[in-house]
Amino acid sequence: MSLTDKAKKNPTWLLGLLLVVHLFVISLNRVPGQPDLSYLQLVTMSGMMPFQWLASHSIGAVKNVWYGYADLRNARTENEDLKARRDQLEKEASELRGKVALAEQLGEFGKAAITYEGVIARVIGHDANQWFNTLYIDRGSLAGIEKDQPVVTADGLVGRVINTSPLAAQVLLITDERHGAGAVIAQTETTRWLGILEGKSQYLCDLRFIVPPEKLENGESVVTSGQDGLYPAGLLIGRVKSNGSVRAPVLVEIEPAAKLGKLELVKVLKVPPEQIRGPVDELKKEEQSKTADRKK
Amino acid sequence: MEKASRGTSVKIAVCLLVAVFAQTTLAGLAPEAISQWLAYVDWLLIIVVYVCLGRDPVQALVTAVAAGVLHDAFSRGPANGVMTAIGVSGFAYVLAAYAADRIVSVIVADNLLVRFATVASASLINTLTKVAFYKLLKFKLPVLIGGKGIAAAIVFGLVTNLIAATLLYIVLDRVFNKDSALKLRRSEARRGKVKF
Repeated sequence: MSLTDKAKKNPTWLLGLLLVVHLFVISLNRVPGQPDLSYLQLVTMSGMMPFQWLASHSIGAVKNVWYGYADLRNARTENEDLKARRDQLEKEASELRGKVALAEQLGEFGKAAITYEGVIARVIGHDANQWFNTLYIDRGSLAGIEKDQPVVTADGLVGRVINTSPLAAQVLLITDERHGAGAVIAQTETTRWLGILEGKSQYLCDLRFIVPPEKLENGESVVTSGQDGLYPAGLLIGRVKSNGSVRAPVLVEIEPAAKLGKLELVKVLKVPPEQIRGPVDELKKEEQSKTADRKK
Repeated sequence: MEKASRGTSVKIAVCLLVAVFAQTTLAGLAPEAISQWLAYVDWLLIIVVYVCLGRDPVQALVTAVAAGVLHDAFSRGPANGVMTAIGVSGFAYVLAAYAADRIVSVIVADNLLVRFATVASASLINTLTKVAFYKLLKFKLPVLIGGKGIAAAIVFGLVTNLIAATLLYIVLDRVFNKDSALKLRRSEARRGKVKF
């Protein structure tokens, strides 16, 4: 019996096959308004989200119960340790008060992350391929998350949103090798040397200096410059990782401040796009006026 | 017979869904020492190879295609206009499934050694195919820089997949009733109904 005869006798399987093929072809189409997102990703992201959410929450709950029990057992010894630590901290606090005054004079660094409104989201999944650095969060466009919004933790910058579905979003980490393709410009916190941030591996980034600094200390903080039209200024990226101070470096390794290997909760910053694009637009306007002047 | 085959397909579909869930979530939830290793385990590939052990090439290849689609859906969103890798995983899985099917069709026995050989060859082909395509597509992945990265990816992938497959196949044998099916075939062979 040929395939046609079989299909004539029982056309259901052929119908099913054709429907599946058509669905697959449709799923490859791009979502209107989000040219980077296919329907296949939209449907699967939304479909898997409840299971991933449930798993991460239930495991989190079990973890909390266990840690609560463990904490209770160690409470007495911890109490004594804490008393000793309190005395130590009081001493350090007085020293820090002096440093705070100095930090306030250094400018607006660090304020950016605090001043923006944000959506707290839970990390529900990682990239299926261990070589790519993206992750999934349990908040999507329904929570007001949009493409290109920065994602941070209390420690520092995590990356930015690259795809959104109604219930979930995909985040590109700063360590992904494509992260630098948008020419993310970062700068050292105290000396303000500008460089382009490139994702390097699962745990590191590279900072390629536009003009090499005379000297760079190990542990120097690196923050977003706000000049790339992708991130607002002042978000902590990480710290320079080198053996001691480096003279005239062209490229330095940056250790991200956020613990990217163990992310649980992140904050998606709702930064108005015009605020991010502001410095870039101003530069463009300046360039346009300069070229117009030259033509005159 | 048809009912049994339909039931198997449903079981495979469920297994693939559980595998993709494990692939995206498990490494993030496990303690750091284990998560580093879990990241190398390709749960979808392990399921595909298991289906290959059933000696039905059509089912194996269809499963490989489905695994590829699922993998691509949960991997590498496009960013900064840089292209995605849609189709690469499916291609690698299909190649790996074909190789695994060839092995089990040549070696009639179904024992741990045969399983090791199929998982190892499938893992090797899967990693090499992906690496080759990513190189062709000019991805700047750290794993592609130098032979060391590629060698490490192959070795770690191979070891972790073998360990995970050994454990997972014990569960899958129960899910797919493989032990009872094998016993039935043996008893029928003893009675002379089936000739090996």
